[in-house]
Amino acid sequence: MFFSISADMLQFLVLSVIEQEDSYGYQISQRLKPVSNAKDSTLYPILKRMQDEGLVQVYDRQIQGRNRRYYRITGSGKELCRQKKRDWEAWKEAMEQILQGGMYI
Amino acid sequence: MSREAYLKELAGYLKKLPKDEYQKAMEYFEEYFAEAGPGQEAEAIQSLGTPREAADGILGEITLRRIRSADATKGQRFSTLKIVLITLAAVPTTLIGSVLLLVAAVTVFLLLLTAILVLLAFTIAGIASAAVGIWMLTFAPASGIAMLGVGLILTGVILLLSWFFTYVIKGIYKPAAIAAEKLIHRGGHTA
Repeated sequence: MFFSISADMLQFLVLSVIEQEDSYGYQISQRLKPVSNAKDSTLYPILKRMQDEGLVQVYDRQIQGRNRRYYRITGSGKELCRQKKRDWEAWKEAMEQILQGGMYI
Repeated sequence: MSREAYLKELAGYLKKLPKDEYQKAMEYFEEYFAEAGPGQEAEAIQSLGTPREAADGILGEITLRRIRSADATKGQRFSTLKIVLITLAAVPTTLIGSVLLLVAAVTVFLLLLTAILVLLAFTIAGIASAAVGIWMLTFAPASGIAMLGVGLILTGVILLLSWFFTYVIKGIYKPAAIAAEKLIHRGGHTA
């Protein structure tokens, strides 16, 4: 069962993945599999936009005679990620209050 | 579908993008297949979604970005138009056909309505002028004759316009019917 994930949420998840460690397209797709059933092709436009917005940078590394493009989080990417994590905590708490009963009016 | 067929179809959808955008997008998908491994083509394609879906995501994002960047120069704006057109061209022909048909139908309907309203206006003006002319004959014969003349001129104009509108509508109807049939026919083939 999957809850649908917005493009915004997907971006937040990608930021969180590469904040921990630089990563490449296929690996990021695999990391998102447990929470999203979006097609993997949707990740490319998201990565492209994040690059244009200066949230991530790319660099290439040679692996077994071919190229692998890595994504690295930038300063403003980290800043946005921190902010999103605060928003997420507040949202998660509000969600749980609703899910566990209306005691907090 | 093989990895080659997948990449070829995707390349077909993206080939009109700026070279740099095209190159980077193709590299991403080639890399994806390479990472998935040689025995995993079917699974990789299953996870990626169809080349059509992949292309739509990329074209959509690029179109959005172009539109968003407010300080677009004239050249870039032209480029945006081009990308919007590429995206449009990728929409199934049935959809474009339906939209065109609808637009054509609305246009023809509005033309008809205009013709009827114009004729109605001239008829009212003609009758009024003639009536006023006859009434004026009793006390101002010269002006009355002039007004009556105006009424008759308007009647002539109505007759001419009716003939003209019939001619135009007939002229529009036949090609429109042929075009509509072609569009529906073509849509049916691709669907």
